[in-house]
Amino acid sequence: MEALAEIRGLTKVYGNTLAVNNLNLVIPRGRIIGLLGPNGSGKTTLIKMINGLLTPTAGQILINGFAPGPETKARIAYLPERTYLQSGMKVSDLVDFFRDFYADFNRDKAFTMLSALNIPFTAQLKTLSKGTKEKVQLILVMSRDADLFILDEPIAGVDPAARDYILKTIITNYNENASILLSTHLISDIENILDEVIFIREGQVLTHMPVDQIREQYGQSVDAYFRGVFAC
Amino acid sequence: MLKKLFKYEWKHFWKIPASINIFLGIITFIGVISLASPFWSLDLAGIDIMLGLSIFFYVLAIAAGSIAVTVCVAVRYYKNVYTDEGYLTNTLPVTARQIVISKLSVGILWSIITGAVVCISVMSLIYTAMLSYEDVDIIYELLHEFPEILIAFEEEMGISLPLFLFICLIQLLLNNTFSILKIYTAIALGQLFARHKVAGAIIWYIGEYVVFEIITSFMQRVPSMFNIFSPFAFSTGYYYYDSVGDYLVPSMLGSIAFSLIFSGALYFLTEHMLKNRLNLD
Repeated sequence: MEALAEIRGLTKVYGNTLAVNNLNLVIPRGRIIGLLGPNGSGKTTLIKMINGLLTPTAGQILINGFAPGPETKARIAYLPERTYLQSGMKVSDLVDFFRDFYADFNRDKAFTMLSALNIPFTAQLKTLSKGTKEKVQLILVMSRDADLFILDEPIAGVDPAARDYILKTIITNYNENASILLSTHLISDIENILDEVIFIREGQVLTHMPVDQIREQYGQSVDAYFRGVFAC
Repeated sequence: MLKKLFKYEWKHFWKIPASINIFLGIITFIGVISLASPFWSLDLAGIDIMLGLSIFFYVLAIAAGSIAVTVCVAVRYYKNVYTDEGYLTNTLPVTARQIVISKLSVGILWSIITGAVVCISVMSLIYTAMLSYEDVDIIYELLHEFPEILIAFEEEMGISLPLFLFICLIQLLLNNTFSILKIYTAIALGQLFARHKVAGAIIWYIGEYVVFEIITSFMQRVPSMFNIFSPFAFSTGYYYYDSVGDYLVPSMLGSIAFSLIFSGALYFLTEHMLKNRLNLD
């Protein structure tokens, strides 16, 4: 099957800092992939370039054969690590906003998830806690039928009880041709749902392999293997 | 998509500029009530100073209101495109052109609405003052002598009043567009700074302002330069014209051409920066 995304020679330089260094990566379809690495390894920079929020210094990104632009944005559901919603809006306004702009947005799915997490539709965003805002954001993103879901720290700001629901939501809300690229530091919480992992260090891919292979080859969990590889 | 962007831009932005315009309306209403009352005719000590202060604060409020709307347009663009909200704006399946045009259109609309409110405010006060203290009804006189005014205007200006007003409208529209695009471009170029991007945008804006002021003052002298029969024209920029219209109409058309050319340049620079040089923190 054709790869979902292909990244070739991707480089990003900030002043004198090399954030991503000639990175090559192929993202297959139908996989949940953990994008893992220590702080400052280039994970968020890579994610932002895939989403067209950062301009690469060099290299090429192709998603479904297109460079980042309106065509790829229509097929990528992106959850950034920060709150990007306008605080003056109501939850129901946000649902309408997503429905208006994303053809693959499922309004019913969004309302079902909002109800399950007891988030009132009529609540103004500014009245919600930071964790609840993050849940709203995740629900909006996961209510799409996108080809690629990119989730940057999706569970970092929510309580453990909600984490289980979110992880269940992630697993059950994507189709077999779609992939999920999930960046987090909470490896032990998510490793059971991962198919593959990508380890990033100093802006380069260190390892890209199936989770089963780590367990079989090294006899370790992903969390333990990560701690071994990136030991300080 | 442009229609949807415009719809949401209007929906998310209207409250603040509308509040500012309501504030201007309230100030105008108070001014009209005050001028219609006999208060200012009373023989009170210091009433001239009070009148002077009232006019000063009125002018200040009107100027502050107009500037506040422009600042709101700038803040809205910066916040919605280049801060956290930009993570959503720039991941919508729309083009950079659609983003800029939708925000620019709403910004221009509010600038024009505010300009109209300011005009109505000033005219209302002048009308009330003339009626109360000079016993002159300007509107009645204007309507009563309208055919004569039309003829006199055309004789003096060399152009009909409706055509002149149309040129004024185009000029107003383009000047507003140009003003907003100067801000958008400065914000976009401010992103080239690694840190202190807002300060960078302000520096770019000052730079743009100085450059365009130099170009404008040079262009104002151009008509005089072509007057080879006037020995003082080049050095003083002063020239006797047959009528006001001989100078004013070409100046307005020149201003339109200036705004059109530079607005186009600034627009493409703004779009280029958003499309090809976006680097969100």
